Amino acid sequence: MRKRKDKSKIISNYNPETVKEEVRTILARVARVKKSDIRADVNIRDRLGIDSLSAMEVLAAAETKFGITIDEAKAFDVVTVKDLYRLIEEYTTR
Amino acid sequence: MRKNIFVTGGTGFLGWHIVKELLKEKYNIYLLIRTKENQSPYQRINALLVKDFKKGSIKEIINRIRVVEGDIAEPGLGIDKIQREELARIIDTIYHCAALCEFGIPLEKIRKVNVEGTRNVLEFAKECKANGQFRYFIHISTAAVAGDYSGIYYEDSLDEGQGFNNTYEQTKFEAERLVQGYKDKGLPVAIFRPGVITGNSVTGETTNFQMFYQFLHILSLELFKELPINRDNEYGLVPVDYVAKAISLISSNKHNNKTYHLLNPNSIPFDYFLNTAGGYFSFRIPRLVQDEDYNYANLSGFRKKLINFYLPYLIHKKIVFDTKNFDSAIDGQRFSWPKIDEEFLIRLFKYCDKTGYIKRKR
Repeated sequence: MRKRKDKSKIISNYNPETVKEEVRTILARVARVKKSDIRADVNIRDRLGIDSLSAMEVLAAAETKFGITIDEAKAFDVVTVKDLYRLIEEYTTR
Repeated sequence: MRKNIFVTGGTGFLGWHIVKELLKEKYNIYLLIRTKENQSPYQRINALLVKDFKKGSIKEIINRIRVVEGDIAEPGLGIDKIQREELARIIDTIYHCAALCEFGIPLEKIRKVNVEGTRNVLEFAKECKANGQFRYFIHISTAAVAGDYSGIYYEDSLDEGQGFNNTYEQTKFEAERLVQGYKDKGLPVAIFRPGVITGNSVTGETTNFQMFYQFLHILSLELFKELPINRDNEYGLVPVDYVAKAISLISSNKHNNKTYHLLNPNSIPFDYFLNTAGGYFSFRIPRLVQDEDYNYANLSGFRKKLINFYLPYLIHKKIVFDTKNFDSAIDGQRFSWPKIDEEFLIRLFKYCDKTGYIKRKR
């Protein structure tokens, strides 16, 4: 377990490639699609069929995986897979 | 004799099971169906017919099914005046099954369907009653109208000053209050309040992976090391086919004009469900902690937001649903709720695995 420093925003250090790989694993699992279907430009809602509850599942799974807490307001701007990479990277890479 | 039945939500999960029960009798069934996700009403009903009926019997059934294009959320159900007047002259029974059954839908959006939609169907019932043969309005409600009430909740209770845990509960309550108002003004009504509806008891099949299933899905993602629980609670799961059967049996007699709780007295504790699911899918089971001892500070961010939809059902103060009306109406009909055992639960889980909704780790 990583030590939690700040409850509001917990930074943990991960390689960006690891982040991408893990985010794709989570998306594939929640959207029930093949990992190869998850490319950076894909629209999460329209193309992967992820509704608002499933989107929460994705973000909660990322929080659990990386030991972070994501700001709800920031999650609002996520449209594509690339947006999601960027959001998670904000919390996980220094 | 009833003959021409109008059904809303007939392509939905419970609605379709009710339609299948009604088709066993020789009724003509008018299904109000809207276009959804680019599928026309005809495509939607055809897909269900092909799935559930043998080729030989479809022909006879199609002769008794009429598709009415429309939408409960629109005034006049989105049916043009001439067609609606024609229908109002012949419809004798309405089953109102249509509703949005999801957590997390904004109030105004879900109200438009669950409450205003119900008002539109009730207004149509009024037109039917004024014009013709109308005898009976069957409203599909939910035990969730009890909200956060604790104690004994009676079938004749509705507003006990309870609060609501989500917009689904709130709007289903508001819809029932509306139905009650029309009933008080002379519309013949029966109201059914099922508990937690699961997939089909024989096939495990569901067409609606919401609520019960969504919670199972969240558990399978292993997001929580611990979850709070009130160990006083047990869950009276009701399989969709039994719910449809009970509704069909009770509503076959128009003198059954009360409210009926559909809850399985063979209830199970949450641990039993969790252990069976965890064992089958091989996910890590969260440790259950009595509510008072649970450290809520551990929940944050989206994990908190997500579990908040389901927490009320885990830590709810004990509620007992009285079933006197149900028991007396079903008496002598050779109906009893099934036992919820491991075999039953695994049938539901197998269907989740088969469809890929939740994959079993192998």
